[in-house]
Amino acid sequence: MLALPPRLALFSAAAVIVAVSGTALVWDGPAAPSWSADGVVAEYRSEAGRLKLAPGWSWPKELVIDAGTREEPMHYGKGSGTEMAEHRWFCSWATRATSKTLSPSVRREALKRLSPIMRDRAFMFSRSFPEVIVTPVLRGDVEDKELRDFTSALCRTLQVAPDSERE
Amino acid sequence: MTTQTQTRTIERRRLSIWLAIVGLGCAGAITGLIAQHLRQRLGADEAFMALGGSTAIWVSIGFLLARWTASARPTRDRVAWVSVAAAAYLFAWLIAYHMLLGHRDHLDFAQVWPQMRYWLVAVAPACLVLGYIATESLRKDLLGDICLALPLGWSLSEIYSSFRVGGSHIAVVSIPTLLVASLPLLALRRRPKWSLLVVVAVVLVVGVPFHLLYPHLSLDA
Repeated sequence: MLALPPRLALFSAAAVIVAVSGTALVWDGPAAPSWSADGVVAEYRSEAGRLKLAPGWSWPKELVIDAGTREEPMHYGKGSGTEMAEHRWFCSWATRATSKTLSPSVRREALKRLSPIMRDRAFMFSRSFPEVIVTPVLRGDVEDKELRDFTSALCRTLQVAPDSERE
Repeated sequence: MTTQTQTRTIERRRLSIWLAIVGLGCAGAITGLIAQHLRQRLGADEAFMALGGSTAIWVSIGFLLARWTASARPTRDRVAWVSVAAAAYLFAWLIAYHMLLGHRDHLDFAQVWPQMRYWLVAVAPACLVLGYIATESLRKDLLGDICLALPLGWSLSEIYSSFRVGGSHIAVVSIPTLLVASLPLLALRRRPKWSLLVVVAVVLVVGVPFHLLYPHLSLDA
């Protein structure tokens, strides 16, 4: 473009700008990678093998994921299995950290388990968990009310419970 | 001036605008990388995260660079060329910000694109506005005063919101955003007193509706 006459160079530059913005306006982007139910289970198991649950918790032997029908198989977003496993792992340690029956030192130790992964995998956790939860975890604040309320609500919604409370 | 000298001068001007465009592109990429790096500082530094995901301070930096480009350009097609330079800055900032996000969090392009695309759409009109006000802010008249006040106008919402959060947000977000947005106002030193009234009026007229329309504007929204 350097050798073009100034006006032509200017129009060329303007065309590039309009082309990039226009593409962004009309193009939805490539299809996001997705998994079948088997893929979700494989992802879940892989993440479960990497994470250690709190005492009294174990990984489910069977994982029921809706596979859909042969005509209309279910598609899950990449990372769904990983996120499911991380939710269980989070619930195990966060429930322990916010328990009213355990000593403060045990609770602080539980919270420490959460912090490395929450720090390293910032994006996933900023999406899965609000910042108001990530912050007390990284600060080691076991008395944080929002952490307790969030943990209780999340684990109840996901029906994730320690072994002693499972049917 | 001989024909040969004239040709050299024209070639030098052409080269200088392309160098300015490349320079603003590089500056945009650097600010995008810094912003994303700040955005990912979790934990005790949530004020830095807010700064990284904010928009006003980074756009104001683009305005300052575009204004500097405008001051170094000859008058012919100046607004258009400065708009192209502003587009280079804005595209580079947004692309670098989102590419670093994807790289650090192992995200595919398909996962980053939906978040990035609407900001890229906004670049085409935004670069025209930025190019125009950056160029016109060099004028020493009413229009120049209005253009100088606009960065503070669009920054007012983020300055106020962070001030309300309090604590480190004031030091990390409000004050730096205020300082960067106020830098163009240094040009008012040799202007009449009423210029200051114009600035205050423009900041309120632009800033208050902007705050009501987009109270939580962030690159992650």
